[in-house]
Amino acid sequence: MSQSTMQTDVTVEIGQETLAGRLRSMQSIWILGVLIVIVAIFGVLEPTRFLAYNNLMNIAQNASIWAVIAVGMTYVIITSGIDLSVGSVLVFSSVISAKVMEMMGDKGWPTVAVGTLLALVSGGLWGVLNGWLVAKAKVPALIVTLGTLSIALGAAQIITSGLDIRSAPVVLQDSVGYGRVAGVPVISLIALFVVILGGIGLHMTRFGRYTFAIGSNELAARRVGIGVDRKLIEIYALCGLLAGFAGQLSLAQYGTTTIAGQSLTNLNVIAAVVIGGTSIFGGQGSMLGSMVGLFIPAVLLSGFVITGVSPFWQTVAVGAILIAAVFVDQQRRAAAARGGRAAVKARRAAAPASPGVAEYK
Amino acid sequence: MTTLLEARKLCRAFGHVQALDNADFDVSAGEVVAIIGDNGAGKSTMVKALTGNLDVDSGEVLFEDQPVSFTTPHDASSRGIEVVHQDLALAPRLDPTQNMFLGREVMRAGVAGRLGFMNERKMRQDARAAFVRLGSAVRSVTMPVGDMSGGQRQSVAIARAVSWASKVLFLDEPTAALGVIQTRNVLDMIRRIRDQGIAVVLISHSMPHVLAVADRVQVMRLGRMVITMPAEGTTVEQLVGAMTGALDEQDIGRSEIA
Amino acid sequence: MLFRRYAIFGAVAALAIAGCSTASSNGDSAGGSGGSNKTIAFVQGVQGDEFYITMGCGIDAKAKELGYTVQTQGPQKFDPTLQKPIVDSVVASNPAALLVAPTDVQAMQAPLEQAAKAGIKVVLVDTTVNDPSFAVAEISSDNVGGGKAAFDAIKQAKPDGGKVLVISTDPGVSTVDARVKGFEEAANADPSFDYLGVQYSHNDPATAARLVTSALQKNPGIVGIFATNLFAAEGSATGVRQQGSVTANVCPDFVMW
Repeated sequence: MSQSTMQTDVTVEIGQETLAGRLRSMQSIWILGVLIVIVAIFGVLEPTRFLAYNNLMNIAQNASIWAVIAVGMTYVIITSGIDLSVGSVLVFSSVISAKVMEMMGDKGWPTVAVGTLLALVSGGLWGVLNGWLVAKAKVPALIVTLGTLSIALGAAQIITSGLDIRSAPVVLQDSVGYGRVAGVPVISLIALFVVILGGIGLHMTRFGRYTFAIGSNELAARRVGIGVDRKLIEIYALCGLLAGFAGQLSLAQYGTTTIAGQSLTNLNVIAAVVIGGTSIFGGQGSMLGSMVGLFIPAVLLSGFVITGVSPFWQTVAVGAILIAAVFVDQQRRAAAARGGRAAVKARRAAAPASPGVAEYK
Repeated sequence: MTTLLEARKLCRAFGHVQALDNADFDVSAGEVVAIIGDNGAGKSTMVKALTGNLDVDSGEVLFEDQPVSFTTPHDASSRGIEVVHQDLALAPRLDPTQNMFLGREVMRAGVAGRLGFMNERKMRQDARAAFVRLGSAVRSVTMPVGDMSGGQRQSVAIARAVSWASKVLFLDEPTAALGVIQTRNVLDMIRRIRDQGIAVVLISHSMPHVLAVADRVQVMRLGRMVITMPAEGTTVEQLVGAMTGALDEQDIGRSEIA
Repeated sequence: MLFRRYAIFGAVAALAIAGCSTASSNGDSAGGSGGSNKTIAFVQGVQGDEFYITMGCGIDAKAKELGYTVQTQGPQKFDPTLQKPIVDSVVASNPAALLVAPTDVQAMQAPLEQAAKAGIKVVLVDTTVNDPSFAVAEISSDNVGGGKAAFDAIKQAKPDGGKVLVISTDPGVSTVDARVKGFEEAANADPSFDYLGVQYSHNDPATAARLVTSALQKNPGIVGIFATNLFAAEGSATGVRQQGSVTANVCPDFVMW
C-alpha cells in the first residue's frame, strides 16, 4: 500500500468520525429537541406564568433529587441491569441520617456532615448488597432489587416504627433544601455537580468504558480480562451511594424521612433514563440524555398544571412519550444501520478505483 | 524453526465424552499451522486449553520450552498469545478503537491517568495505524462495530488480536462468515502476520483456505492429533481422508512426526 | 354523610373566594390582573379518590355560583414527593386561592408557606401541616372525636367487648393519625376491649384486604375493625368477606363522619 493511499485512508476516516459521532449522539439531540418543543409550546400558551424564572427554577429544584439518582441509574441500566430499590434505599438512608442527627442533638454543619456521610455509607452498602447478589449470586437484577426495595423500606419502618422523623437540622433545610445562590436553588447546584461528575466518569474514564463494555457484551469483557463481577458490584454500589445521597437531599427538601413517600421514585427515574436514550438492553446511553429524559416529565407536569390540564392526562402523556422515545430510537437505529451499509456500498460503487477502496485488491 | 507453543498428551473429558485424548500440538514462530477436523474432533477444546479458557485433566503445555499453566485468558494474553474467537467477542456498542483497547486502555499521564482518564487520542491513532497496517476494511474507528458489516467486524477482531499477539495468534474460523474479497483479505493478513515472525494457528473448515495459507496442517480426530503434514503438495482429498479416518499415515505417505 | 361534606367544602370555597375578593379590592391581589382573577386551584391528596372528588364537587358548585373557575390537580399517589412539584406549579399558575389537602405535616410545610408568601390565599382542607398559621382558613373534622365515635359505634354493636384492630393508610397523615389516636384512647380506656394496634395499608385497598385476612386468621376473636379512610375501609370490608367472618364489624371513616 502506497504512502498516498494511507494518507487518503486516514482522511476518509476522519471525515466519517464526525459523522459517526453525530449519528451516535442523535438520540440525546432528538430528545433534547422534544424537550425544547414542549417548553416552547407551554411558553406560547402561558408565557408569563410558565416561563417565569421562578417556575423554571422550581422545576429544576423538583427534579434535583431524581437527577442524583438518575446518575447512578444510568450506569446500572447501561450494564443492562436495573435498580428498583433506589426509592427505598433513599428512605432508609434518610432514616439513618435523620436518626443519628437527631441523637447528636446539635443542629449545626458538623451534624449535617455526619448525617450525609452516614446516608452515603448506608446507601452504598445496599448497593454493594444488590451488586453482590447480581454479580456473584447470579440472581437477576430485577428480582434482587425488587427484594431489596421491600427489605430496605421494611427496615426503615422497623427502625422508626413507621413514624417519620421530622427533625432534620434547620440549617440543612434552609441552606440546602430551600437556599438559593444567585437565584439558583442550592439543591439543583449540588445535583448539577453530581451529574457533571457522573457524566465525566461515564464518558471519559476507564470505569465508564467498562460500564459500556459489560452492557454491550459481558462475555467479551470477561475475555479481555475485565473483572466484570467486581465492576458490577462497584456500579450498583455507586447507584446505592447516590440514592443514599439523594436521601440526605430529600431530608433537606422535605424536612422529613418520607417513609410513606418516594413510592414512584424508582419508576420515574427509570423512565427518565430510558426516555433519554439509554437502552435497557445495555451498552448504550448518555448522561445528557438521562437529564433531558428527566426534565420532560417535570416540564410536562408543570406545564399541564399551569395550563390547567387534568392530572390524569399527565400520566397518559408521560407514558406515551416513554414508548414513543424508545420506538423512535429503535427506528432511528435500524435506519442508521441500513443507511450506514447502503452508504458504504454506494461509495464503493461510485468510486471503484478510489484509493479509499484500494485495500480490496 | 524453534517450537514456540507445544501441547503434550492433553486429556480432557466432558462427562463420558473424551474431548481431548492424549492430544499433541505444536507451532513455531513465523509459521502458520492449521488445525482441521470434523465437528466434535476437539479443535475448539484444544484452542481453549491452549489459551487459558479451559482446564485440562492431564498433560502439559510448554511455552518457549517452559511448562506453563494458563488459568485465565488474561494469563495467555500476558504472554503474547491472542485468540480471535468465532463469535469475535466484540462489544457491539463500542467502536473499533474501544474494542481494540478494551482491558488495555492507554491512560493519560500523571494524576489524570490515575483518576481513570484515558488517552483517547493516542488510542484512536494507534487503532487507525493498526487498521492501515493490516490493510483492514475498517473505515471508521469511531462507529459502533455493531453497525458494521460482518467483514468489518472480523477485521476489528483480528486487528485487535494482532495488535496484542506478540507471539502466537489463534484464529477460530476467521473466514466462516466472509465473502470472497474479504476472505482473501483475511488470508493476506494472516501471511503478513506470519512474516512478522508470529506463530499463527488457524482453525478452519475450509480446506482450500487452509491449503492456501498454512505451512503445516495438523488433523484431529476423536480428540487425538492423528497426523501432521506440510500443506505444500497436499490435496483437499487427502485432508478429508485424514479427517474422516479413511486414510492413515501410511496411505498418505508423507507424514512427519510432530 | 357525603352530602354534608359537600356542603362544608362548598362553604370553604366561598370563604376562599371571599378572602381573595377582599384582597383584590385592596390592590395587592394575588391575581395578576387586578381583581379579575377568577381562578382557584384545588390540590387533592391523591388523584381518583372519591373523597377528594366529592370535595371537588362541593368546591366546583360553590365556585360556579360565585362566578369562579376551579382547576383541580392531584398527585398519582398520596405522597409528598409527588405533591410538592404540583403545588409549586400551581403557585406559578398564580391562582387567587389554593385549596390543598397536604400529604405530609412536615414535607408540605415549606412549599405551602411559599405559596402563601407568593400572595395566594391558602386554605388547608381535611389534612393539615405542623404550623398552619400561614393559611387563611383550615377546615377539617374533629378527627380525634371521629376515632372515638368509631370506637363507640363498635361498642354499640358489640357491647360484650373483644379484640379491635385499626387499618390506617400511612403514618404521618395528620387526619388519619388523629383518628387513630382518638380510637386508641377510647379503646384503651375500656377494659372489655383488647386493642390490637394499627396496620398500615399504604392507601391501597388490596393491601388493606390482605392485612385484614391475615389479622382475622391470627385473631379470629376480632369483633371490630376501624378503617381510617375510604380505601382502607373498602379493603377491610373485602378482607372480612374473604375470611367469611360475620362477627367483625368494619367501621370505616364515612360512617363516623
